[in-house]
Amino acid sequence: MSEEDRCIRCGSCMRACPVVSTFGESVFPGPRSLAVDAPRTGKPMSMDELLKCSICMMCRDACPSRIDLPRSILALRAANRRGTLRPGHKRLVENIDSYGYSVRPDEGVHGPYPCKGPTTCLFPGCISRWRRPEILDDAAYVLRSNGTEVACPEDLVCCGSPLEKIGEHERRERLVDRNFPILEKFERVVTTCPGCAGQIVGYGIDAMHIVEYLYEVVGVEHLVSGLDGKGLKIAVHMPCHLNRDVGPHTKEYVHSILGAIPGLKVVEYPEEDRCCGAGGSLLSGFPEMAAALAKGKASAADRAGADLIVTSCPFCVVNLTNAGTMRTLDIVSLLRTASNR
Amino acid sequence: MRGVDVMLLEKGDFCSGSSGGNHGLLHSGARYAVKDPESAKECVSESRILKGIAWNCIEDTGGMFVSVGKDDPGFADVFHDACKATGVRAARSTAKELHQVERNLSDDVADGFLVDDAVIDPFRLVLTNIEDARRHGATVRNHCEVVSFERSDGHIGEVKFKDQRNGSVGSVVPEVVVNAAGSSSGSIASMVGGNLAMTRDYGTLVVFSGKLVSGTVNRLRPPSDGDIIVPSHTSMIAGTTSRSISGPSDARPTIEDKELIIKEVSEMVPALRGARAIRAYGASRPLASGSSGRGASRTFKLIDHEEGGVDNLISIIGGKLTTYRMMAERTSDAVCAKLGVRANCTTGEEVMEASRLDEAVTLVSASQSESMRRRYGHVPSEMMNVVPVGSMGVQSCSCENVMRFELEHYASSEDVITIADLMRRTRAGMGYCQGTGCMWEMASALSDEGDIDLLIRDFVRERREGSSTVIEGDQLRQEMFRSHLLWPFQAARGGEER
Amino acid sequence: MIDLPKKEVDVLVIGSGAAGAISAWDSAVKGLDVSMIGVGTPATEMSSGCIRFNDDRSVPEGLGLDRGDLEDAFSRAERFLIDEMKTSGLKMEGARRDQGRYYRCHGTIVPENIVQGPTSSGGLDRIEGERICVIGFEDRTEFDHRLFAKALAQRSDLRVEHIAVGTTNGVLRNSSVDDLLDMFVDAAGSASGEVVFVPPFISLKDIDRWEELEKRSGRKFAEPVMDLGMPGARLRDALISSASRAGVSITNGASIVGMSISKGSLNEVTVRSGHRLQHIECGAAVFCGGGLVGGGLGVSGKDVIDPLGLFDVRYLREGDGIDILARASSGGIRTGPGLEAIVDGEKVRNLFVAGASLPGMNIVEGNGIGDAMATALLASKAATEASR
Repeated sequence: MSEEDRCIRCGSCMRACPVVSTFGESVFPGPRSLAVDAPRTGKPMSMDELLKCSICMMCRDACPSRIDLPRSILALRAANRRGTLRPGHKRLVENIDSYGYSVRPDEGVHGPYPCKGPTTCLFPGCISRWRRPEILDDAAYVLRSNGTEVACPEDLVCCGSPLEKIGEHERRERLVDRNFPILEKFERVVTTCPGCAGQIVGYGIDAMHIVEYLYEVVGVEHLVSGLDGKGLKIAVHMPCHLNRDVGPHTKEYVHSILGAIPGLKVVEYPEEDRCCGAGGSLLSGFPEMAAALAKGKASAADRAGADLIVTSCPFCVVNLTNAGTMRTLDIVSLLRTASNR
Repeated sequence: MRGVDVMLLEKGDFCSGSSGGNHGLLHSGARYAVKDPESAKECVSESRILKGIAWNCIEDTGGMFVSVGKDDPGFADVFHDACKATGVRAARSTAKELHQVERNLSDDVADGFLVDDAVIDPFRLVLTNIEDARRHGATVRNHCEVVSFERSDGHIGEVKFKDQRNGSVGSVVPEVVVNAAGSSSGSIASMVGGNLAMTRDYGTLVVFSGKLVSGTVNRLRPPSDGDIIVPSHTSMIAGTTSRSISGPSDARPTIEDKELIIKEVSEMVPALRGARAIRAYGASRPLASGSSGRGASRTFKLIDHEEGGVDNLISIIGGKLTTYRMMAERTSDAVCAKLGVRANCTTGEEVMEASRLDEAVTLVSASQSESMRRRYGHVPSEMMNVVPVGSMGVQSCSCENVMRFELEHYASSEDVITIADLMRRTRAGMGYCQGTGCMWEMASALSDEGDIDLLIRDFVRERREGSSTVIEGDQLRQEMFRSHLLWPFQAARGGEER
Repeated sequence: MIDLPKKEVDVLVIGSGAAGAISAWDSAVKGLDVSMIGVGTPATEMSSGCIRFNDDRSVPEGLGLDRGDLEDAFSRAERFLIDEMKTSGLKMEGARRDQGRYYRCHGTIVPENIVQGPTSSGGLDRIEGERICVIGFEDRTEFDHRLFAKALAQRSDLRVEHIAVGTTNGVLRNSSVDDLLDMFVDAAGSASGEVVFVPPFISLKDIDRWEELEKRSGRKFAEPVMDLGMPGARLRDALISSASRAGVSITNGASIVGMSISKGSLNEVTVRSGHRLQHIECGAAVFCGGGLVGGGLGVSGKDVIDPLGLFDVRYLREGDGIDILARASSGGIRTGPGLEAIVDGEKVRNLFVAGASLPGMNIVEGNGIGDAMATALLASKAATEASR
């Protein structure tokens, strides 16, 4: 009996789905329709329908029958690989084939960190290396100023997460083969991106997201000493892959860290855990949908009275910034800003 | 079709009795070849005819007979010879060949035969017949129960019937009465003072969610309990059992029936043991001969009650779904003989109206028209009138992919007064959630005529009937959840029907 | 994967539905360090948000609970619903009915009213008009206003009309409350109904806007009781908010994978959070994982089971009664006498079970949220004592 056969059609997954509740079932059929109903009725599904899931895992956490709906959707994407990919996904595949990264490297950006020496690796990740290099820089800064020197080897490539999301498993394996020998030599691997953390754990390497590292290894007290929140009012955006893949303990970590920064006010709002729309290849495949989700999120933070959004995922930063209504910072950038230096 | 003025009365809905209570197998004849060669031959010719005249009701899936480890190896030769003798096509196949057709077959399958079994949707078949009969001028009324026959001098005069819609009583004075009331044939005959010797044999079937087989899978051994699996739409139906019953109160599937079926069929397809059983149902087979159970012939019997003292009553009993057309032909032959009508029967040649419909220019999506084609055999053009302009509308039943406009189309029919009527026509509510969500949609579509509370109550009773003893596993959770949603209705009744 | 840092708490509450939330709240307000973990959608959230307290105490009494303690727990649970929920923003209103007391959010019309008509609602009657207007969405995906209007008309002498506004899928959940208010006020203005029914749309956050609706349109507004969706979600949000306010540390999305029990005492609970495990040392734990719908119990064949394989489960097999649902409701985790869990045939002094996981407490054939909350308060009381 397959896991999907346990469905009792309570609709919890459909109500939890941010894409369904934003765009309606006529645009995106929803987790149950895709993962449970369609395979059962033999209803043909277009790759487009499958690709509109942001793999936020809200549905998985909502299911009282413990069905891993996102996993089923990823399996269907892989099985449906001959289905046409979106232009953004094709570009992503081409970039990986050409450069090893899901985005085209920018000539002006270089990894500024030594490759030898430190026993901790800061895994760069495509977005924080090439699109948001300041996040990588801020992460290295925060780690260094708290006593951890990091290496960031040039030869590391994309973690494989974007390929997993579009069903390109063989290509993904090739990336794993390139990254693994480099990463396994380090005592500790830290990532800025929750997607990378989950992927590298999947390699069999105990990667930590930087939030975990800062909380568990550095310690909140040490981390926040001397910081000044400057009276900023911030709204937290919990990245889906941090909250639900790396694990919900990170939510407690994020709040402990932010809550301990003197002069910083965290505003509460009910949408804190809601998907911003970047994940699951939605941003590369359907940028207008990702933007609409991000706008919704940003205006919820705005209504809550926040000055800016703080998150802990470079990809969420990109998407929320695209929404254009709220300034968005990665937590490492906020920490650096608050250090007054 | 032969120029006779006909009225058909059905006390419930079309196909709500024995015809709807089977597994929907269109027999190749192989099942009967050894023990009942006459039935086998009938199946060969009739299944060929039906694939032509009622193609929209049939999925030509093919099928197989498989022997499993411990089965008598000698039976294969007996079977093969009997098939040859009766004209049933059966291609001997190795275990490997069979596995290529059905990948979920047990590794214990030794060898077997590929046969021409197909799957027929009994609801669709009966409804297609009704549509076609109406087109030919017949008056057809469901939910009209015959309440009395006026009889004098061995002749039926006025027949009175009660219309369940409004309780009104209508009447008709027929020249000839045909009693085709299935397991109620006996009581109809006795209302007229006639006598009908028949046995009721009860068979249980189990419906599983999802499909593990692509065609029918039969056990290569003499007919026995749990020897067949039939794929049907989004589910599989496995059966059957056979026991004689004395009355309708015994006509209920038992947990033993269900366990026996699962034990037997999982010897052919082991994964069935873990499949989700949605419900069990059954129907009494009205058998013609005095003997009962597996030994009874599945051929039919036409009885002219003239000898019994009623000169214008004909009963047709026994038989099976595959040979229904032949039974009807013989019956109408007898009717025509009484009336002196000389026209020939053409039901074997004329494709039924609904089956001939051209595909409408569809306003629905490709996947929806595919689903409708599977459920209706075609995309009914008249249904398109209720598709909301510029949109496909709302999905009402996601288990079976039924849209609201389909419900509204059928709900507007005079024939449809209950949720179950709507379900039989669209398949909404037949999926694993058993109407958890869509029963409200169906009640909504019907609520112009029906009392919503009664509609829901009747449907829940219909779905639970018999089934409540056999549900288990996650289907039990499903039922708990459905009860949860029914709370407003139950609370209002003070829990009287808990 | 390396384990998460070990954690120590006084009381660990497993499950975050109604029973879990009130139990955690109760221990926390007594000054204990309480953690609550939960995953999935609790039945509370799938419910209509309407809570029944049965006069018939036979089910909880059958668990071996002391009558006096039980009465005390019931009245505390009712007080909690009125006082604490109000602080969380949810104004609950209660009334006597034939077999108990019913509470529901201000503005909600209870189940009986739908079927029997709003005027027969006994103590909960708030319909004074004779003309009713039901507003819904054209696609009727979340609330079938047409069906509801017909049910009302069929069950009463009221004159009922129905109006559809908008057609977009998902409008109800995604529009801002301002847009919805405007939409409903406009629609109500075009109708002659004195009482206007709208789909449950106001979340806990905006619950105080309800009165604005009535003020702006000059009509009375009501929402029909509805399972699945806003009313249940609103109740759950309010419950979680109460627990959080009391200082409970809440982790959503983590689940227990093991318990270490020795000599009749629970020492440690192992929790999975994402890819990692965490060992939580606790003075006591309360299991409120839910019943058959919420997923705290499962079914294997005809047996009710504990899907975690941690507890002893009672299932009354005898007598293959026709009503399997009633029999399944009587299954649950074995305790007692009292609410101490039984594991491998032995009582565990600091592990308690409450809510729908208990035999006879499974909705809907069982006793529902009211009894679940009362047992949860007894469990938290016992856990608070055991953790010291």
